[in-house]
Amino acid sequence: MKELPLKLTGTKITVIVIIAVLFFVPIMLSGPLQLRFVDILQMGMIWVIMASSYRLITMTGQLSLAHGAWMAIGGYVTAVLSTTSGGLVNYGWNWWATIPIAIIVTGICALPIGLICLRVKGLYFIFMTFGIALLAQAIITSWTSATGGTDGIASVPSPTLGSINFSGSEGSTAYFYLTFAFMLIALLVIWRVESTRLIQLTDQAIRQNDNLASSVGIRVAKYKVLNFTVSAMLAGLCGSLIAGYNNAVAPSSYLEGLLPIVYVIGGGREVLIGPVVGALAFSGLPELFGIPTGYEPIFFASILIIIITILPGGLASIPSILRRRFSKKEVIMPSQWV
Amino acid sequence: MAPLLEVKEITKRFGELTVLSGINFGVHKGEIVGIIGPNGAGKTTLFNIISGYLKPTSGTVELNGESITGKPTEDIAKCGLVRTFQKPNVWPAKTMLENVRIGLHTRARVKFIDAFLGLPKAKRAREAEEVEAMERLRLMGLNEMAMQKAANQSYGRRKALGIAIALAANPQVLLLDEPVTGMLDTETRRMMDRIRKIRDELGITVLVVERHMKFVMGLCERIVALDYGQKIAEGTPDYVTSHQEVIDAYMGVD
Amino acid sequence: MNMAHASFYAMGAYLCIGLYAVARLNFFLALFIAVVVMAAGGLLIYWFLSGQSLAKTIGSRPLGILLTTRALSYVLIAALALGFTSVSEPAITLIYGQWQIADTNIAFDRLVFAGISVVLVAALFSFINYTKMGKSIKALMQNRDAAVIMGINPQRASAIAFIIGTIMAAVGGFLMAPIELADLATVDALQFKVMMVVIIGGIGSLNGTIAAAFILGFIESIAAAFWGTSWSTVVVLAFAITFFAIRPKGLFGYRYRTM
Repeated sequence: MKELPLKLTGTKITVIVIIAVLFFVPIMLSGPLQLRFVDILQMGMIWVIMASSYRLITMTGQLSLAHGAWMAIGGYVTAVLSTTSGGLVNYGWNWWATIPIAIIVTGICALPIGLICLRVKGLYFIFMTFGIALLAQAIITSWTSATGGTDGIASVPSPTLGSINFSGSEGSTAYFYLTFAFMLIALLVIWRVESTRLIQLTDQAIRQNDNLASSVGIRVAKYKVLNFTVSAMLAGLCGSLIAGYNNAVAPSSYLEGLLPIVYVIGGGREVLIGPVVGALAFSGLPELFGIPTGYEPIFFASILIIIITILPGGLASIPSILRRRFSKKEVIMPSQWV
Repeated sequence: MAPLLEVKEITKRFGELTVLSGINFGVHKGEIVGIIGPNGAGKTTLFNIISGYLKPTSGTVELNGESITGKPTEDIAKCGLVRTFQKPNVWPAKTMLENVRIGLHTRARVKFIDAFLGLPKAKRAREAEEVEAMERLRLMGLNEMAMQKAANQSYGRRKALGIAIALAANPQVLLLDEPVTGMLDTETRRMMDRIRKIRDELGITVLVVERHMKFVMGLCERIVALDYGQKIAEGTPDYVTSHQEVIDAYMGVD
Repeated sequence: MNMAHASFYAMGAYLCIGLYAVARLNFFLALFIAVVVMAAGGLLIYWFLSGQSLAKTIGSRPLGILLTTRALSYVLIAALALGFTSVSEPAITLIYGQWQIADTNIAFDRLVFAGISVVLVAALFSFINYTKMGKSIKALMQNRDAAVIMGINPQRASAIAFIIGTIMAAVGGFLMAPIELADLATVDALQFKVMMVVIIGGIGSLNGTIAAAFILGFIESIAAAFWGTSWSTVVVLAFAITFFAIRPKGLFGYRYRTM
């Protein structure tokens, strides 16, 4: 009996639609409308990577508040290594070269922290990761010589590739496709890793009952730390992408502890397509509706509360809910939706 | 012949309280051994120590001559000692079949890289897994409801599922924690037959903690009796139940 | 575990500003109104948190509550900050003057506030240990099933505990409004400090919370004296995280509860 890694074939359609839309938007629009949408979707795609990586942590049943810290580390590594003036060290590295370093450094930081934090569960894990996030922020603001404190580091150069211009508004299309490529690669890797029966079953087993999992020999700690570290590394990549896009880094905004959670839970944390949909759908909304920055926390937090109360499975659960409503067959409801 | 599982001088103290002192016994391959004792005798603590959920204050536990004392439960399970739980412990949202498949994990035949690339080898291995999982369910009498969700099953069936899952992990020694507590007499009798089958067909050695006396007497070839953290008797069921200290410990309780 | 606690503190602060400074009501009247408002709000939020669907999103009820309260705190704090943008400075001073003791100046209002805190904590302590409701709450914490069997109504006790906590946070904020402003970053850090103090003190132990509060506050102040305020945050956070990693039970925790 074959089982598809993705349960809804509607998913495949959604995936194709999303990829097509993203691919064609910059080409088909022009002028200020194009710039606006490219900008929104650009950040949206970075959030897709961030949200998908965050989902890895939820796959083993934990809820981390430290995700913003990994993005910050990645961004700052790229910034510090690539600026040519005004920073602690001005190596003036090529942006491309900073990416693997940023990912590795983030991984190195995340590994021991994962090992420590993952020894505890639930509330205590949230507490620890919360502390890590605040600690990272405090270090960034205090260590002004390296990080520029609250002002951050400006003049991070854009990537260069032959004669393609990546910076400024002329380069925004190029950067768009750059991010698009990274996003596809990241999603592909996550997708294939997850379709392996091994990872699928193991992660779910750990998430739903980790005592039982360890009693049959599943190395619970190993998988949790693995997911945590890989997730952090991908978040580091996001940080670098943002640094290259904004040409600057600054201490993470207050919002970044919440956003990954909103995108993943809002989109649906069970399936891979969930955070993709969540990130793309929700990240652009404040821009589109012209919601000023001060209201953003209310907006995102309200989304989360609404999802929790009305639509626990997130946006991705809408198709299956509709199918149940309109299906004529009697459906056995799972007695526990975990 | 050396015992498969050996418990040597296990002592456990929680601060001032000594829960176990100097427990010694061995379990030979193919035996069904029972541990009995009144409440508070330390049976569960002993179990938790053997299976790695607790570390002993002193003493060792050896499996196949190698020490597994203080190792994490996951490693002990991989060495061949798997336990079940007193309260039914399953993955509720998954079907019975899926539950058992997770237990097969320790012997994953599918290499990661094969699955990553989606090779046909991986798919064939998956099908073989299903067959094995059904075997375990059949042994526990659960094959008819293999595709039902575990959460919908009765208490007795979920406990049986717990055992099926443990069997899937291919243990040499199976630790059963109060497998029939809370079950009806009919289910209890069935469980006795099943455990015998597990030993006969799969060659698994069984160590059982249980308070249901008829079950223990009818199933176990050897019994270890504990009271207040000490071993007070060891031997055949007849010997142990006629032992004065054991009778005193139970004071007329069946 | 309520992650919106610090936001209740902030609400108290803003209520102080709104009722006392802006509406110019009598101080004690303002305080009274604030308490009533917060009690009502707390009850509402408690009722909201009792909903069943909280467990479904994230798979376990405690995590669901944590998540919801965190989201709630974002909403509250942002809403408050927006509603009160015009009043960003502590525009109120209750008590003027300073004392001079040895070489240091101790502002009089901080002293009064400290005094009031002591009184409130003492009141809480006697409530928990000497009143019937307080003892019921304590019993529920230690062994829920046994307490329920003994006739303690868990919903009522939890609701009361929650509301008391809410009111105390709000009163804290209310009184602190003249001293320190409550902006987003401060409140977020404050939330962590609240959790830190409770967890490191040991969940279930009021004494632990008090002890931890003193110890951690002490560490922070000393660190600030040596290395400045921003590094002091780093120090106290690092200390808390390390301490917890080594001793998850906390100082006086009754048991290490896995959620």
